[in-house]
Amino acid sequence: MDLTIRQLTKKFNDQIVLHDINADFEQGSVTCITGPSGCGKTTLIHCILGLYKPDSGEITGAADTRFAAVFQENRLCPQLDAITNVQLACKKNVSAAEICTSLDAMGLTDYAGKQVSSLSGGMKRRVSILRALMAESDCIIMDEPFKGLDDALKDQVISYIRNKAKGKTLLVVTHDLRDAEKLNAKILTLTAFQQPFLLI
Amino acid sequence: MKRRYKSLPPVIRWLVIVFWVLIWQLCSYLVPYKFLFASPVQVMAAFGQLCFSADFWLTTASSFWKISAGFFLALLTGCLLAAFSYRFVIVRELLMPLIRLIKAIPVASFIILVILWFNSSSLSTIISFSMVLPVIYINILQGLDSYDEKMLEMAYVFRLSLVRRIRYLYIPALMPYFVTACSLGLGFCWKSGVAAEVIGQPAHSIGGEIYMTKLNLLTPELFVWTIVIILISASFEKLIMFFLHKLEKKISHLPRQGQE
Repeated sequence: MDLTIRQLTKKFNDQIVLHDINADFEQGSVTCITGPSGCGKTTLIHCILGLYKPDSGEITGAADTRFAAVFQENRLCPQLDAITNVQLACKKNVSAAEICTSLDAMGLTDYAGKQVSSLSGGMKRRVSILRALMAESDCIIMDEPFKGLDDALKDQVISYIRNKAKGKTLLVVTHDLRDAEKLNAKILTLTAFQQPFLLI
Repeated sequence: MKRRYKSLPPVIRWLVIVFWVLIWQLCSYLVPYKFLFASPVQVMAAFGQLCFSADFWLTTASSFWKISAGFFLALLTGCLLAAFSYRFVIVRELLMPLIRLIKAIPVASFIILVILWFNSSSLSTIISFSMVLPVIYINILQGLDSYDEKMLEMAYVFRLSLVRRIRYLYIPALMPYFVTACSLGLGFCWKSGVAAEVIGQPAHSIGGEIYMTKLNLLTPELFVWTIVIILISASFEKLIMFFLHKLEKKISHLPRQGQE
């Protein structure tokens, strides 16, 4: 299912964060959303995910799309282990062995059964990415997924994402244009909305 | 710099108990009127005597059953009401004055009202229920209110079922509040339940027996019943906490495929 955004505007307490945004995301396409800090990248993806209600404009196709996401914060269950965190978002027929194999591919072989609260920031990030990749979805949205990963690990994760997300719509928020290159992605650049001065 | 508290070997703890029993014995020698203050020896003798009477066990079991029934009913009702209050603002607004009223009413007034409205046989159940309910309700609601909204967003995005949300998100997050509520509630239920029995004197009740010791100036028996209440409430609390910790461990693991 394609996602189409038309004239999307979102305000927080009269502060316009997104203004008249238009974008098309074809099913199976890979898009990197870039732009300066505070330009509304996270707000845009939260609108697509249905977490924020736009003030005006529309997003078509979202209602029929099954989403999976990597949030800016990992949003993992701290008391559960890595396998269980991934399994929680999966269909019932995804086995622990299958998840273990995927954790191996993400370089988390020895940490599969460890409580997530005891893992490092980079490890938690990879568990969070894996959860989104393994969940049943049509569109995966990732908000700065490579935060806290070194270059070698980042390349390993990017190649895994490319492999696993085939056929799914992938939206990745990033500051680094090299990530877009490695993901072979289209680029959507947001600019910060300038509030007009009120002259009295 | 903080001073570290070094734990002493168990034998020292036993010696501390022996020390206080000796002080108790000494105090009993110093009190001129023997019926006012029973010595440890007198209490042990009274305990030995009571232990062999069937009435003692019947009374203990009856009070235990009624007071713990009040506790469990309050636990269930408090959790359900907190869940509804969290979900529906109108329920929260409706219940808040009632919960505050129950908290504010002195337990003695409550006991008299219950005696007037109901019979005294269910008195301790109703009183322990009323005293525990606000504690459970307020703690669970506080836990729900402080739950991380971002985790709920995650659950929404991944379309987690209600069962999974409750089991893996809500219950682990609520566990500390639930443990605190249970610990506080257990203390309240025994104190208020026995106080109710003392005033209402239902048949086969510890409170009723305590009242009789006052009438007949049986101080050793009073001490025995007091020790019995302490032992039951402490054991009950330990048992509940043991099961809660077991439950905590169990819910922190998702059953593997096919077990759910």
